[in-house]
Amino acid sequence: VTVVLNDRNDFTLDAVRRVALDGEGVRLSATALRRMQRAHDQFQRFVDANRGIFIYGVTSLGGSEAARHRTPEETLRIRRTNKRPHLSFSSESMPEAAMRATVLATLVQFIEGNTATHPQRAQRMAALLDRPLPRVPAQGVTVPGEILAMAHLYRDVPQLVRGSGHQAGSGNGMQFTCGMSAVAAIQSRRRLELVARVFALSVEAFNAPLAAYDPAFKGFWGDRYESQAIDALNGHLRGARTKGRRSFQAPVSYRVLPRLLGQAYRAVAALEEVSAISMRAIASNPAYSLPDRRHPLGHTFSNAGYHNAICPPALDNVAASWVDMAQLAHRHISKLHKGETSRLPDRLYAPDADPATRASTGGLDFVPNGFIEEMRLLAQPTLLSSAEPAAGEQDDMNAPGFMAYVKHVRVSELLDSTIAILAASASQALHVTKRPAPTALRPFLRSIRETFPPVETGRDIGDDAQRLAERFTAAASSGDVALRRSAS
Amino acid sequence: VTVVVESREDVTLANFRRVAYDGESVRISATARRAMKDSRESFFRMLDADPEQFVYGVTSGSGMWAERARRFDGDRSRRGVQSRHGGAAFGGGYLPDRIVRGLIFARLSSFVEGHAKVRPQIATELAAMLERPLPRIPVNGAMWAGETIYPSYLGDGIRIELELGEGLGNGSPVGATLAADVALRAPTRLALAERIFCLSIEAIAAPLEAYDPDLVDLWGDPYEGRALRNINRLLAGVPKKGRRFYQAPVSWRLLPRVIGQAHRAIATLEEVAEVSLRSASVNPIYEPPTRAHPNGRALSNGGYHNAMATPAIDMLNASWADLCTIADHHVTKMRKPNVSLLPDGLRHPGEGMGYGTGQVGLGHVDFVEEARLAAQRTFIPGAEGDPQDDVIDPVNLAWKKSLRADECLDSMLAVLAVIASQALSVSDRPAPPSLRGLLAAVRERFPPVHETGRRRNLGRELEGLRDALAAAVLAADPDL
Repeated sequence: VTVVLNDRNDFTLDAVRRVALDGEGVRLSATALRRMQRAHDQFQRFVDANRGIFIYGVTSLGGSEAARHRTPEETLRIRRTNKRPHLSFSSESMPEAAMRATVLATLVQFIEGNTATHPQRAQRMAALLDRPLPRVPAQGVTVPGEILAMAHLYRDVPQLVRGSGHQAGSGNGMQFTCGMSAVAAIQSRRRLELVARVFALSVEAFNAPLAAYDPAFKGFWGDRYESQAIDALNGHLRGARTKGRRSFQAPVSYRVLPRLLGQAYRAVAALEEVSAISMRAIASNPAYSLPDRRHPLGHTFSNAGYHNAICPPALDNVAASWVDMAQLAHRHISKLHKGETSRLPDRLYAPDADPATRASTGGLDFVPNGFIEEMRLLAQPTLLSSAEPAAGEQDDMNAPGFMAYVKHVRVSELLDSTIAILAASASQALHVTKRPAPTALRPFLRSIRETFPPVETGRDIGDDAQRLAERFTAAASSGDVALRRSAS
Repeated sequence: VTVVVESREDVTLANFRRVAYDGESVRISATARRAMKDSRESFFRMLDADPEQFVYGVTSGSGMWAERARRFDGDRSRRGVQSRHGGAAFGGGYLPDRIVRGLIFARLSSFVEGHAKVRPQIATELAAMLERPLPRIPVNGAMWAGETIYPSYLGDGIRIELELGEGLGNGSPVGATLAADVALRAPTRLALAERIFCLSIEAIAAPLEAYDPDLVDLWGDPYEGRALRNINRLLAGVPKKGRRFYQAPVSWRLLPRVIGQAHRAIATLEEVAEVSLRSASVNPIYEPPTRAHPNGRALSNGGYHNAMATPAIDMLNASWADLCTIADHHVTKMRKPNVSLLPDGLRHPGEGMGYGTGQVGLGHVDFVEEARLAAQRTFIPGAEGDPQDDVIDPVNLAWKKSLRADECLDSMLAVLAVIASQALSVSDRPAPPSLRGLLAAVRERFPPVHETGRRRNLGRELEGLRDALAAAVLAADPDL
């Protein structure tokens, strides 16, 4: 299956899902190719008529060399000869899905002609998606703009294909940040759906009164995201028994769940919004505005198209929400194991078990401590660096996208680990009290128990928890957040 | 002038400004008083019908003692220990009057439709409190599960005793108030920043193409669009010729993007403040009678934890830190002639060899670094209050950091304004037409520096300018 790209409106989060996560290829429509060729030709006429003005990358070289005026022929000769070397290195690599989304986000810059990119270069770029992508280091790529990472990802795509003339930027944009954020947005939505299920299971495991999740709060609080959280929780708690529950209110950590979950819905929605905007943004330095009445040959403008300022804070915000979710999950884990608070069997041992041989999820409640402390460190905001990035004083502000994304990925994995322990603890609480999951969550609980069976005798439950966490991480990519597919 | 509160819909950001900032009074409408009276009556009918049902704080103890049941015995006037003694917060000074007034106003949204089952006299007493000296509420030592500590101090200011089921502390009026406070001050502060950054654009004679209106459509983000339009409006009338012939450093070119993100952060905060102000957030909340529940019902819940105010304030703090960083780069770059193409040392022609600005622009990095500290995220604390009250609300921490972030940004904007003013002075160029008044106001407080003339205390002048910027924010006067 192939995603057909005709104009910038085709660059949606759904297209990202298909290309980046489901592995589909792309094809540039004939209309788009013709439009690119026309813009490329128009740009040559524009350059011919404006040889004396500053056109970044055309009558100058880049970065700190921008101050020196050169002829278009000279820059073309240099660009044809010079190849961008690999400068970055790291033992970690950028995830393939995020890089596939980056290739897609590169094409949006080309598709309406605003980078005067030759259509053959666009096709070469699109063809990258038909085979494994070059490896891009996860560190050492933070610079003003995204130029260092490009040298790795576009290794096999020359800046100037045979027969092409000048181009306006043609890749000097923010495509990595756009692609990474878009993938993170899709995975975050899925992860949130999974997290809501696990918390609902915890509510039932704790036997918490359901009043705190009453749909009436949608009207009392009036926040659409808290309403989404309330709806999600009620959907998952469908079929939960209403009699015989705890007679007084559950601890705060259970009652504030719809509000903190609501904030997570808000954060994910914001990430989706900025990612969608960014995916269809044409952001290149320089950019070429096509001919119009005022500018019969079009015009160019040097700008900060390479600096995406809206996705990194949104990634940070989701990461921060994940920290709060993890902290809340740890509270639930502790409380589920604390009999005097939960009124469940203490430490979730079966009540009739022999003290000499008994086993439970007890002890796992210690494990999230390190996860959460690491999350707190990583989820600090990705601010603009106050440092001067390098010797050339012209490029004086780093783009924060890579940093924000790499941190986000790690924070997300640590959330999965913490949530896996909550799922295992909730499962154990239901097991030792011989209670079923709410009707809507029974298949989900069964699937959890495939990977992490209730504990009755001693075993290395940390290994089971890790496998469950890995299933959760995989579900964020596959979309199987209800864990319908068998663990095997 | 008086704000009339008839329902939660009247507890808006605009009315918050009138009450908290402009000192207007509040009147509780007859409709609202009737709703509260009816609600309290139906609440007790509900209890009479089932005196043993769990209603937090009424037929149960509080907090850790919520499990202790107490049958409703018909005594509506019973009071607890918290209504007899004051709060235990201390340190950090006291909340400004605007916050206390705002808190009183925000408190009403849980009351006026009967959700807090308080008597109408409590609401009218709260409104009357705005006409008298306000209770003093310590800033520190006030973080606990929910937001109970600040609003419990309002009990110091009312002249009647609270009765059974009545409380001032439970709910989330603090998150609403603090979000509203930051949201109301932020737009003017950003407008000031836009003006001073535009002064900086002109000071370095940056090419205008980085702000080309065509970018509005190409980037497609409404907030970046707003930033681009504002920049173009502020730069209208500047000379097109004779500007720097190649692109300005990145820190000038990315302004519309970073300012756009600040607009986005403000819009989010405004929305959060609006939603929070009008929410009924008390625990337990009483839902007045409906067909399904003829006596109404009391729902125990977590409304006292506003989870959206803190992240929204944090995000604005991060935007302020980024603007501080950009201002620092502008100041540094304008002082480097090889980068700025401005006269060496920002000295006037014929003046000496040293720093033309004295020490201005040398020592400001602490504002940048402190702004970065103030922008650190505010998570729910790891510390657990007690086994029952086990998630602590951190919103006052985020708000305290916002005050420092504000001060750091004002300080950096003052330094940048002075350096831009000096750059225009030494190169004998005017400000953009729409910024000439601002430049005159800057120079009134901090004239361009010359090698000769009276000895000046430049730091004190800068502080005066910084204070003028802060005052302009409160007065919503970005043109000084």
